[in-house]
Amino acid sequence: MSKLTLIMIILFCAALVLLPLWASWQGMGEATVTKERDSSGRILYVGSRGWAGGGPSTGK
Amino acid sequence: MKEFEPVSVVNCSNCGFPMRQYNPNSMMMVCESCGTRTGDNEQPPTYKPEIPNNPLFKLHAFFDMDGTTWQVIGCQSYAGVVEEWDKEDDAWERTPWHYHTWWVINSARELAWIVQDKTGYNWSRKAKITSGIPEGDISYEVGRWSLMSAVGEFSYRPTEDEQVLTYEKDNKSLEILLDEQGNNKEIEAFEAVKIEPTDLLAGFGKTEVIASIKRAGLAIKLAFATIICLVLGFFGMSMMEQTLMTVPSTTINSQLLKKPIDLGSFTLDKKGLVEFSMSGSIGSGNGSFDGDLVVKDSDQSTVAEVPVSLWRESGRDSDGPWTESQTHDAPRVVLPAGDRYQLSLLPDELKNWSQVTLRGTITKNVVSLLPIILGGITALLLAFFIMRIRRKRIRKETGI
Repeated sequence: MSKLTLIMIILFCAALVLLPLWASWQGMGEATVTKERDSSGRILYVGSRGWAGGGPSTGK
Repeated sequence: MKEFEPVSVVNCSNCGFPMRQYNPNSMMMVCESCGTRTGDNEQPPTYKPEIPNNPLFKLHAFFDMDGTTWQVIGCQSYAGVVEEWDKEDDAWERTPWHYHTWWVINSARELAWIVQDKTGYNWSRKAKITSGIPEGDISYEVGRWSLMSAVGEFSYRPTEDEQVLTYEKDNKSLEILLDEQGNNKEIEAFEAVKIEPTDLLAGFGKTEVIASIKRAGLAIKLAFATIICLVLGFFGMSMMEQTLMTVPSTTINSQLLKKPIDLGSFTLDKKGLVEFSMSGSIGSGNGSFDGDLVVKDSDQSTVAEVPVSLWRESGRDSDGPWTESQTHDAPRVVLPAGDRYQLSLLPDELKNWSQVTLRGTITKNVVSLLPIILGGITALLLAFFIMRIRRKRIRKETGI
């Protein structure tokens, strides 16, 4: 194994630690509800799964 | 390394190849060019004995081990079977095997032998014979060998059809040279001392190969350290979980179905994964409860509906009676930041049970496990991949 390959593996391993930890903290892989606004400015809660999410919210 | 001075040079009687003799006690030489033996006035053997193809050991090659310089002066190749007593089958198990014995000499003209087989290299050191022939002793591995090839110089006269019987246990072996009638001709004892492949590579001056193998070893450790870091990071982040609210003990019966029950409110200052951990005291016997935890914002708009399910099932199969149950459910959802979320429970269905009592906690800063698992699997695959590459490199460089 060359020195360059070892350096690339070190960088890859560093990314392999940081990226999954960051993704875990962000809750990746779990159901998600995001807050969006429609053209009239109303808030829409959009779920990533069928059972999550709801209707429009007026007044915001 | 400076080449040793040969004690004599004999031209092959068949092809004229100059055969160099380094051991003054050698009794016979086999021409590396045509296979003719010294002292023979006959034609060369029907087959030409060959030195096995080895990336390190060549005839007359030099190497250092433990501060001593050695030179390869000959090689014998044996093939045969190893018989090992199989305790389960109560019989001898026969395995085809082969090995090479490299004859080496140092500057003081002391002989030594290195045995190479599929498992690695060993010094084969002469030992004292301390017992008789362990014939029929099932604690020994018995080897029955035929000499396939001999090239170089030897301090005895190996015959073309040489047969050897070996008894081996705990790295110690008794080797019996058989005569043409299969009777014991000569008995010697040897002790095998393992040679590490990296020591062998160092001895042959393959420093760059060793550095490369060490780097691969470091990369393997890095990959495993990555897994440890992921696990530690997961538990470290789990310690940052915070309870948003505690769901008070709430009893559900059939009269409360389809009616929302207010459980309280919580604030989420930033977007994050929230866990709705619910436990229930369920009724006796089989039954189930299904409902939804409904999260609404301050405008009473539904943000999320999170299902909660508790159940118990039992039955009987060929293994006998069985019971399975779920008394705890902890669905998770990533929620956007909100000033005030109202939490209510909408009981949907209660089967067989008269009532169920729920309690629980709502927790923020919950850590998702999936990315950690995927990262860990990737690191593990990386480690196995590098181990395989390293193993192949060692095999290529040492021949084992």
